[in-house]
Amino acid sequence: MLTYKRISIIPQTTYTVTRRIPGQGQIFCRVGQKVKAYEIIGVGEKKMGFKTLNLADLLKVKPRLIKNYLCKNIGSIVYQDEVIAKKKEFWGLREVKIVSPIDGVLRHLDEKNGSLQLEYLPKKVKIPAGVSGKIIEVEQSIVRIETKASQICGVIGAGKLKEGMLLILGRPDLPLLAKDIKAEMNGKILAGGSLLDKEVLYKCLAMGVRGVLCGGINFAHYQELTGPRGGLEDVGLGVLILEGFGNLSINQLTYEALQKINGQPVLLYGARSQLIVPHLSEQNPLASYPAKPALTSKGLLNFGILRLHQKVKLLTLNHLGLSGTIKKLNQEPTELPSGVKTNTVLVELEDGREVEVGGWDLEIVE
Amino acid sequence: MLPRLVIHLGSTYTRAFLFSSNGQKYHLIETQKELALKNPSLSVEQFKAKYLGRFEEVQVISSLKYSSGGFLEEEVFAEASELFSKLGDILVIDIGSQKTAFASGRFGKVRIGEINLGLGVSAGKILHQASVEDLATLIPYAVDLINLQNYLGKKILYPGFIPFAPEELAIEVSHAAFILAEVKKVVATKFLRNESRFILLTGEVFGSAPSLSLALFPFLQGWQPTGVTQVFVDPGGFFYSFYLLNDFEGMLSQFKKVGTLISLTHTREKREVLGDCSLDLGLNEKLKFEILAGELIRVPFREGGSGTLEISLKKEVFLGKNFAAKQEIDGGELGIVIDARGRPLPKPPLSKEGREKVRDWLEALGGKILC
Repeated sequence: MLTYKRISIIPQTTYTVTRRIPGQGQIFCRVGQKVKAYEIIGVGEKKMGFKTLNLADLLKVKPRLIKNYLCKNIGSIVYQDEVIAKKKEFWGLREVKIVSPIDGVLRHLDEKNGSLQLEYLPKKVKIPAGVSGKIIEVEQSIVRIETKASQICGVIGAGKLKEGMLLILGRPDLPLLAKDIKAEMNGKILAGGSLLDKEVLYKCLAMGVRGVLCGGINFAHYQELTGPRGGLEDVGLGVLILEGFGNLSINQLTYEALQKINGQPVLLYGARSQLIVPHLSEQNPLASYPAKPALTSKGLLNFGILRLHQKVKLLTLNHLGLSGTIKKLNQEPTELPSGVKTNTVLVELEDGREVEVGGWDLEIVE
Repeated sequence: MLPRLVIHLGSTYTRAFLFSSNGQKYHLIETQKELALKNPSLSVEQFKAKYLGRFEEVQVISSLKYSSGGFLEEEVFAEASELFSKLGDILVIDIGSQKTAFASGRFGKVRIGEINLGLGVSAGKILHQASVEDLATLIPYAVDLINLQNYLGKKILYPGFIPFAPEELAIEVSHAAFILAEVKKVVATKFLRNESRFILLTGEVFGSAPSLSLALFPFLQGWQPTGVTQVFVDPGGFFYSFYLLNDFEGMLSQFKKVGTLISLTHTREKREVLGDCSLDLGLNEKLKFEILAGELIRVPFREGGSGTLEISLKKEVFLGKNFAAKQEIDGGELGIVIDARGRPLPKPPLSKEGREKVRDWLEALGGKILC
């Protein structure tokens, strides 16, 4: 009998990280080059915004005449305290000077209201590789690095790709609390807890947390979070739910794996329900887990054939999240407590209890 | 006529039907159901391997054109409904995991439609049409609304999940009722008809229901039929496979006959007399009784039995446009069900009283959800 199967950890896979060089930048690497995580692969320019000065008001002249008082042409660079406009008063005896408050470019003069728009000079930003690997593509402003990585798979998620250091928070079997989210978690990807609620999510957003991994989430909150676009919605941070809907402890296997990579840089891709753990060196912290093929291939991968002694996780309301081992496969349809007849299996739970459930009311855990 | 394997690829389940032939007629030997794999070819190969050497022809039904020998589910549904309409004025409803298909018409002229509401992959969508409190009103026990929503979420992730606990079955039944209510709105506005004589309910929620009462209940609550109708339930997706054999009799023989449903339209107060009913079920004497507003009565009448209904109704109590006061009726597993609760049906409150009311209705149909 076929049933659901979940692969929680893929210890060895390759992942392509895309780095964008913002603005008119420079790329320092070439295809085929091997890079380390800390290596700078390019320098970009980050736009810093605009500042507007109303010269007509400051010089007390009509807006349409203001161009006559400019000392620099539109498009020229000015530095802080450099004179950008001046006007003589009292028959040339006094001069009013307007100086630039910033280092920037004279971007636009509006002759209707006499305002001058100054653009801040772009800031140079160094772009590190972030992961160790090989450059496989260099486009105009894009560098693609193929890296060896491990993958932790969730059940559902939301949000775009987010990067940050993984930080384990709380216990795997208790709900996360908003009061536990602190300002120092800014930029981090948090992992822990059995339930992620709205309050915690808002606190994470307020504190600049990049992403959260948790055991469960209530369906209503997930729907509110994602809206009609589902997991593809950009929710401001990455969310990865490891077990399903409801208050569900993170399974032991996944939690142990998370503990091994605590403090490491990770990539959380909520919309794909993946946590990618780039390998910082040749050593793979999750190497001890059995190798699995990549989840993207089609076919039997999300399903498995039920066999004796397999580890399973129950999905039924009364035993939600409990794990056990298949003890017996019943060949004939059996009546469930609901009265529905189906092919059932006998599962021995971790606490020693035995329960007979439908063959599709569980998932094989590997 | 060669032994044939019919494979129906659904979004959640794949069903296989193995037919043998005696040269004149096909006979169903075996049927099996598995979870549908993401790759339909693998599902087909899996069943072919399972029945290797026992068939010579394969027919595949799927929602996408599977191969040159494949049949489109939508087309099969339309044509099978046309075949079923040999009976007369029909309504076919197939609640699936992703969508619900429906067909209505008579004697070979049938219109079909579908809505994107289902009990599996699209389970969460019902919350755009009805609130979680609405769904809870048809559940005969106090339900945790968060658990109810999480159950819908679970069905999206694991659409093949079979209701294990009675609570889960109750949610599924209520969910089905609300889907049927949405189907009715579409049929009433687009097809301009809402009365049919022969109803076929197909889909997992009806076919796997522990009792026919629990298959009929969501239809009664959601669709709210009027007039005199004969209800059939397809217990295993036979509707599609028997159409491919063009075997109308075979198709009918696989369906479970629920019986005859007599539904009155009125707005009278509870316990008011709506009229007199006389049932001639071939017993020593006729069954005669008054129909009281608010009642839901079941009169056992064996399957295959045929009788006569005579009904005289008071003012402003209606049986339906095309239904005579005296007519033939057929028996079934549930027999004759008289629904005098009025139309539209009163919505049970979300309280202990409401839950008791739902429990009473279920028990009147001979069914219950143990909690």
